[in-house]
Amino acid sequence: MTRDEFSELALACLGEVTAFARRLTPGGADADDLIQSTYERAFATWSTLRERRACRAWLFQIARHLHFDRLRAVKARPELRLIDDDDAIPAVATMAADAIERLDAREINAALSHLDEAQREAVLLCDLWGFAYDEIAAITSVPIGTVRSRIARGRARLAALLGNAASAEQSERRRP
Amino acid sequence: MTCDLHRADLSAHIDGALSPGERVALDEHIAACAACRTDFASLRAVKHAVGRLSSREEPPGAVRARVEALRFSPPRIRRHRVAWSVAAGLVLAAGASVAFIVTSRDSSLTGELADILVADHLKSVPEAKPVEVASSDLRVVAKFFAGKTPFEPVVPALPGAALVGGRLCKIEGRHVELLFYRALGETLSLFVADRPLAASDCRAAKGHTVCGTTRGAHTLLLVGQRPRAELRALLDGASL
Ligand SMILES: [Zn+2]
Repeated sequence: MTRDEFSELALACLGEVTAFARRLTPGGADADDLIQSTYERAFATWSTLRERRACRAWLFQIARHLHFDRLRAVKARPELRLIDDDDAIPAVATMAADAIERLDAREINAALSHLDEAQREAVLLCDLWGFAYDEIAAITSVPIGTVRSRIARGRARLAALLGNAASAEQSERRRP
Repeated sequence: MTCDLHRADLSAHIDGALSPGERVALDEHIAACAACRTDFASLRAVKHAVGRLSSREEPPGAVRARVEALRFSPPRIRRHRVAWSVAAGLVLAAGASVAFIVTSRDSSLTGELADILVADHLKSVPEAKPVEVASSDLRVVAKFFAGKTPFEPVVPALPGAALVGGRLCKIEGRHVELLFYRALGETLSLFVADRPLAASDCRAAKGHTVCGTTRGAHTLLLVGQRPRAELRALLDGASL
């Protein structure tokens, strides 16, 4: 891969890296700063990237590492809150799938905000950005089994949260 | 009880992450179990709901400009954020010269590159070989290069110089524009490249003078026989 080819690939991901940076950070200048540092790091180390198709996941990985490096430097806080990986997967609230399909972005984001950080990240990387489990494992530096478990738990919890939101909405509509 | 075990696999099934054997077994169970069937549909609806959120967003123009400028310049030390914010404001205000802040580093023109440029100039001028595009119209010549160079082609106007035409040329394996102008009693060659091959200096080579400058994302290299002060004045007066 030439530097020009890399540039093309990397810049084509700018919109997605921006969306990712805005979900990692509080947004605004923090997100802008992260986007720029991510691309600076990528352009400085692109020759270590072996496969073209890995470029997008690689950029996400860089963004995430830079973000947590910075958090650690500022607050000396742990990377992610430890999660209860051994808990049983919650039962999915019996909820009509089509009611969930009708929810808007605000409601979906509100439900996401109630998820454990690690689960939310895994679900978003999978469902929003369409990464495969092995790519998510590489981006987040955990084994594939952990990715699978985080997605299963996170999605089940979301189904319960969104199910509640959807039924609240339905009773709202029924009210005269 | 068996459904608790299956529940862990429903999401992996939706994501196509099960082995063929696991998939067949789970499909059989789903077909027979109404509870898992409902869960499966809900989980899939959740995946679709999350997938409807925006996966790409436009960064602020200044951030996009700085990121795009990276392709034209080697990595450099980051400015402090406060300084960066100031620079970002400048970039916005400057409009077309977005990449200027990044590419204004002073790299010097190497003797090797100067020799190559003079050699190309001598064998390519219209007196030596026909041009590929002959026109004094900047737009016509720019159009000729569209899609041929790995960057947005530009054809600058040089003060007091008449454009003659141009041809596609290769420097260090990269396609660049080679433009010819009549000025100062001779034919001058102007190489337009997409990265700072050289910057603000001039160098003598093979009885000629080569002067370089950087404009936005473009590098301009002018070759002629006149003294460097004259070529420099011409180059500094170039408008894109
Ligand atoms: Zn079942």
